[in-house]
Amino acid sequence: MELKDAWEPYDHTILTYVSDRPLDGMGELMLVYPPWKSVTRCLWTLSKALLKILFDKPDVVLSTGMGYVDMFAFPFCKLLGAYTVYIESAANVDHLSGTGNVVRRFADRFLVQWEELADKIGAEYKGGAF
Amino acid sequence: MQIGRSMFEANHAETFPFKSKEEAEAYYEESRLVVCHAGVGSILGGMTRNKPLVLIPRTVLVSDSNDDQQAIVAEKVRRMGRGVVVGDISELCDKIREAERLEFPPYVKSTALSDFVADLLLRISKGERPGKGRRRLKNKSPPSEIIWIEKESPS
Repeated sequence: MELKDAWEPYDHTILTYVSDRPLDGMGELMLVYPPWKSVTRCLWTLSKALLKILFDKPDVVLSTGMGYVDMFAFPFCKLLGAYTVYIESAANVDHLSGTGNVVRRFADRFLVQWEELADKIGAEYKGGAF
Repeated sequence: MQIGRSMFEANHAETFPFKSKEEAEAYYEESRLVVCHAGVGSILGGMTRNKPLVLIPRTVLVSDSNDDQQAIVAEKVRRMGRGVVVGDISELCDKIREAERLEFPPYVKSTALSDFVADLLLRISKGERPGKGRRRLKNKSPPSEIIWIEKESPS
């Protein structure tokens, strides 16, 4: 959401987990149930989301690494020909998240938010959270 | 004090599970300092409003091998002079007093990443597919002749 100014002008849909946190004012949403709440609901909502992606055919996918979901959705979008950008969470300074590791090969641009991490793993660094 | 889904009862503080974005922002604005885990969201909430931060990395309270990064992030904030890090819960009171004495210049939001993404999206909307510069061996010579070449994007 820190990057909201960058993507807001374009048509966008946000894929995120259902949770207690407020989801107001975010525009169009694709909500997926987290697997730790209910595996069946997660698979069902994830399938619906993937179907929507298939019909929407996004031009660009910007991801910050949704655990579990990204591992399916991100490569799927790449296969559909979208330009995929992955930005690792600013919380990871020392090593990549699990999702980051899996998704890396499918990303057209792979960015991290700490310079030392970028040097360590050979990713791009274009600025960070602080 | 935000207590999420726990059943904690505080003796000296008002508690609530969650607040909406606007309400949470109002709390940040009114506060004198912010005591939180070293999560990036909470840190930014306090830092952007120039509030001193008292950071308690999650690993201080819960031994969680999945989230060992909080201590590192907290240290970064401490080095910026914008917060203090609590290593043991017994130091909390002293650390709060220390945080109240912190002085730092007003926070200036770094827009580098946002600008980069905006630029990237703009170029894509014009039909480019900007690749990052590719490392290529010049004439397959030894590593001393590695050069960086900007990938030409098809126009």
